[in-house]
Amino acid sequence: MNEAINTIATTISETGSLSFLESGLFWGFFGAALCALLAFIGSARGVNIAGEAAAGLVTEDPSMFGKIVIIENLPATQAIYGLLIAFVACGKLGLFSSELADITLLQGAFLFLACLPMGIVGLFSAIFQGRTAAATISILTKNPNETSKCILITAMVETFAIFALLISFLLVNFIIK
Amino acid sequence: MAIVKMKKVTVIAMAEDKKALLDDLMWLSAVDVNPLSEKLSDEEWSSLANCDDLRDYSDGISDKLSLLERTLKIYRRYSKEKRSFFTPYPVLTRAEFETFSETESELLANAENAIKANSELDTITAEENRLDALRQRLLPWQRLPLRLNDTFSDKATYFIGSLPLKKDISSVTEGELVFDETTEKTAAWTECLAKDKTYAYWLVICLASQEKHILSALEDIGFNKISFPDLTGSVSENLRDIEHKKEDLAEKRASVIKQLERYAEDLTKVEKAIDILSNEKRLTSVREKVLNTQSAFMLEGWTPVDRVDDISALCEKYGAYLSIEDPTDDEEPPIKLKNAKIIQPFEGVTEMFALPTYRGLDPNFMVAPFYFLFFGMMLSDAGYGLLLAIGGFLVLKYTNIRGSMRNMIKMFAFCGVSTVIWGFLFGTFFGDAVGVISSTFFGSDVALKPLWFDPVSDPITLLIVSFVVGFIHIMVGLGLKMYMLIRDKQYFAAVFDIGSWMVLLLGIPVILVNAVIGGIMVGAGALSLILTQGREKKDIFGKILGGVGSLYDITGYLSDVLSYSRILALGLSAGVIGSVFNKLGSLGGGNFFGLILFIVIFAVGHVLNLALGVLSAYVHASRLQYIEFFSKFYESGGRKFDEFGVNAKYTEIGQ
Repeated sequence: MNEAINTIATTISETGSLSFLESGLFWGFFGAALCALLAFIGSARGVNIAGEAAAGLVTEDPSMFGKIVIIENLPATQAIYGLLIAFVACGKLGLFSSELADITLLQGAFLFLACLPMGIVGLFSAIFQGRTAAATISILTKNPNETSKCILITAMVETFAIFALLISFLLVNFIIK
Repeated sequence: MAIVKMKKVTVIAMAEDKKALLDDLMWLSAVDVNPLSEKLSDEEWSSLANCDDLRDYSDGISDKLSLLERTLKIYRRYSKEKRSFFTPYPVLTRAEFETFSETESELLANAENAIKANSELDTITAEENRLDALRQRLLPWQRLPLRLNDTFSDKATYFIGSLPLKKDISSVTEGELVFDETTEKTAAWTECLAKDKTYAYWLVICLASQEKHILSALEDIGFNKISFPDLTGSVSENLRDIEHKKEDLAEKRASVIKQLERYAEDLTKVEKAIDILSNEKRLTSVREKVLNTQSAFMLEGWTPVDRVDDISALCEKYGAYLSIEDPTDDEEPPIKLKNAKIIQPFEGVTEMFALPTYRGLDPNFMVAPFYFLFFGMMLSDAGYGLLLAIGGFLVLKYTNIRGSMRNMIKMFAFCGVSTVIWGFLFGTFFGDAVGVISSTFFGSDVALKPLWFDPVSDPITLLIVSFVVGFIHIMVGLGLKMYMLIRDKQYFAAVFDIGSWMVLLLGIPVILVNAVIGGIMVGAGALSLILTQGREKKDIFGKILGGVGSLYDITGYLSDVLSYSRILALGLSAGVIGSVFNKLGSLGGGNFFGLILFIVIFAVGHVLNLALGVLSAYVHASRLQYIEFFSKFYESGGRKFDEFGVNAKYTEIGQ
């Protein structure tokens, strides 16, 4: 595996050009990294938004912690979906086998595109879900027994991250058999 | 599988039987009592009868309850009997309800004493803290040769204080000290008694007349005078005194705790008392709901059909008048669901959405199997399923959890079974753990083969399966709507509003098999929709437009079916993330440290994934019921049957 990276590195240093942009592997790994990156940022922000609201409620009633922490963590799933797509993409690129896969520039570019839905939708849906979570947490301040409903309302936003996950997965899976 | 049929019962009995009759009624747990107080706004009623106002009595019970709840917390801390999920509830019998008033006052007195004793403990702790702080302040002065607050001569006095170590103390040295050469007599004798990391502790002896002057000069360089205004005698005497006081306090604390432990033997009694008083409060609220005249009272409520006999037996016992009526069309009786044992745990799913209306349909007999199916497909891991099922059934067997929580655990345990089935069909057991373990540690290529197919390598098959399952789910929803319309004798709507759609939608998959038959079905369905759906409109154009426009609803059905693709996505995500953790764990290789790494990552990773997977499956299996399924037929909005019966929070009611 290192050989392949070395080859790319030597090509860059010898020619001094941006010829690595013509490597399918580069675009593949770029896509995987970007997907993870965007989804993680989204989840971090989403959980942060929900967490601020959660902290407010827990100050008033510490016994709510157990219920709250579930709702707070709902926007964390996008990060996991991002991880999943990044992982599957890395697997397709041969990161976990003895040598990297031999793919064309076109395949690499398509892999990059395939990672985008999960990355971008993950970023935004996690933030939106965080806002929804924060709003439902304010339901809990008045009706402490409505946890399940709050979870469901918040989870509705996740539907779209799930669809993005689905599309990204199908695309990644079909680009490289 | 149904909404239990209700009868409206009206009981009229003699006023002197009221207490006993209501008490018996509570133990029957069969009636949801209606408040009759609203009838009093009608003048005809209010001239005849009145309602009791028992607010004061009810408030009295609430006060007792809050006292006992506070006591219970204290008793739980000091009692030798421990309460956990595993201890069975104490049994509370009806006889204990009747004899409760005899022991009530003693119990309440004990409770008040226990609360007092508990606050005494707080006082003791506060006093101990005060002494500790004082001791800390006294410790640097152990070498002080003088007694505190003592005027040891007429002319001279002394004071003590601390000075920061870092301060330049060249002008304040041990021995004689001269402050200002111009005021020649300003002199004092000083000694450093102790030092710690930041301060030096000084004794200053000087003429009483110059004390102020010297002190202010010292304060200019950071000196801080320390005084112990309440203390006399030497420092070491005081320290010894503090030790004695602390010993006394410790003794006192032990005796108070012993006392509390003795009170806490009442733990079970307090738990029973809380349950008895809560029921008394409930009984009181029902007493406020009945109408009284001078010699009689009247009670009205709903009762399930199968309990009517119990009510009439009760009325016979008291010679009371009883009328049993069917609900009239404009009345909405409360909802009680009754389902087979295997369906009953899933009632929580429907209940969370909303209860059905009395004349609607209890959807649980269809919610249960589909929920079971969806949950299993979404989690789809035999290992997780086993944990869920075995864990769930163990919790049910060995803990005292009851009520809706128990139902939910039972539902998860059932769903665990479904998860095991789908896990084996898809060949996942903690992700691909079997394959990873055998290749990393045993060098073999044994792996769990899927009984059906592997969704990771063949996701399209699972996508199709998801759509098919979803299509069936939606068809069942339409079927239920049709059934409801036929039951309500709206045959036209049943055939044309629902039947046309069913024919049309069923035709679409049929096209794949036989284009001609399928095409005919789609065409016939569409034609009948165009012809019938505009029937509310007055003019011919409206009729046609309404008919054609209704075809637009096909997009709704399309998006409903597509929504079931979440089954594939969640199933994949559970399986792939499990495999990710296995892969990460196996990176250490097949040696000893690799094994340790594997075990740690395996345990943490799979617990995380299981928690996430269960939450997602729970949420999205519910969502498919609420949005895709219920929207087709469900009429919700019923009020839950709130039976007037004996409730228990801390005990188990025995007859």
